[in-house]
Amino acid sequence: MPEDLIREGESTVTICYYNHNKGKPEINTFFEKIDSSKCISYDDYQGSFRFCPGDVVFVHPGDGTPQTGPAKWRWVSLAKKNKDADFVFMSTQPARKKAIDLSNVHFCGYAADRLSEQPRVLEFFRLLTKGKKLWDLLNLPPFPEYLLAAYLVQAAAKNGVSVNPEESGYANFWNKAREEFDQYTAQEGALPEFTPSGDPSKLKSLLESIAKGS
Amino acid sequence: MFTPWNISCPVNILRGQLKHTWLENQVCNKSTDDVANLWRTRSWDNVIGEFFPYRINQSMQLSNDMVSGFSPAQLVDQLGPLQNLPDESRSRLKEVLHSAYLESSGISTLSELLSQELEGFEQEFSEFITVWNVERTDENESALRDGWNQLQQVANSLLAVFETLPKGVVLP
Repeated sequence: MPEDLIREGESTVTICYYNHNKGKPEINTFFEKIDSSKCISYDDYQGSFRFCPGDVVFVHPGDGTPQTGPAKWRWVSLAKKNKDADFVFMSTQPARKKAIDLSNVHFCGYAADRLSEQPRVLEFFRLLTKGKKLWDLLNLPPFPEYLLAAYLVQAAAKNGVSVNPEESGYANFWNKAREEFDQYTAQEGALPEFTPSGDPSKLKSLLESIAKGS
Repeated sequence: MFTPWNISCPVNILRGQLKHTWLENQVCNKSTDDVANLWRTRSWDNVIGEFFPYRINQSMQLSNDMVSGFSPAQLVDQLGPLQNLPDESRSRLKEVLHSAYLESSGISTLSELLSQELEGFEQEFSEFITVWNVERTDENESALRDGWNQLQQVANSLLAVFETLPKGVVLP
């Protein structure tokens, strides 16, 4: 994998799609986020188009019915011919990734709803414009783990069950939750309580706020 | 329901496939003209005969699995910061979170509603199959068109229930 998959300050992103997906809400969502002059239709692809090293290609094959499968996907041959480009395969069916053994094909699974409602997918696009490396994007935690865990611990305590991760080897659990809070928000005013018995409603408001902003 | 980040879970993937790939893009977006043409050309025989029943079964599986499938209890095993908790603590944590979720989310009611709508859809579909599997004549096409209109009505009602389902793990 090239060291800098996405050139700092600019990204070449191409969307491959099948013509019959035109007009589908999720494809239109792609076009709203990406310069459509950089988009190509796979059905129009004649085999002569070559990607450049560092290109990131988001593929939404829309293969649909169970009768099709990886062996029949033309975009896979595209990925084989363009080893210097990275293909992000977006699919509702994670098992299909196993059938594609190419180092330049990465998987982004999502629930098959409108992409405008998929935070992780939109995160890809948002960070692409900041020039993040592709593997950084792929390894992004989708949510702040410590804050979420802290909320669950506090919710449990409110319902009569007390557990404290710091008693089980996570010595800095509440400090780390506080660090995530500082990382994710510049919230002023009343802070959430980073203790096992803290009021979970404060953390709940924080989580909602962070999730909405992502 | 409290579903920040729409945290992925297997039951949500199934929900999304059924809503998007089947209901929205295979049932609700087909006009009677579309379906009549597919009937005449026999190009949808496998879809009606095998694929729709398969999706109905999957939908029933969803209604059976969704209460546990959307539960925040699964996060106790997934979140790194909770993985060192002793087994007993994890078990108690899962239990209390699951109970709180059941109480606050209304998920059991949704599951029952989905199940009822599915029963209605399955009933209408079984009638539709009888008008599908007949000789392709102009006279029979009229019955087919009526049948598809009926099926689409219950499909839209089923889709409306799907719209209310959570799109990720539900927190208490």
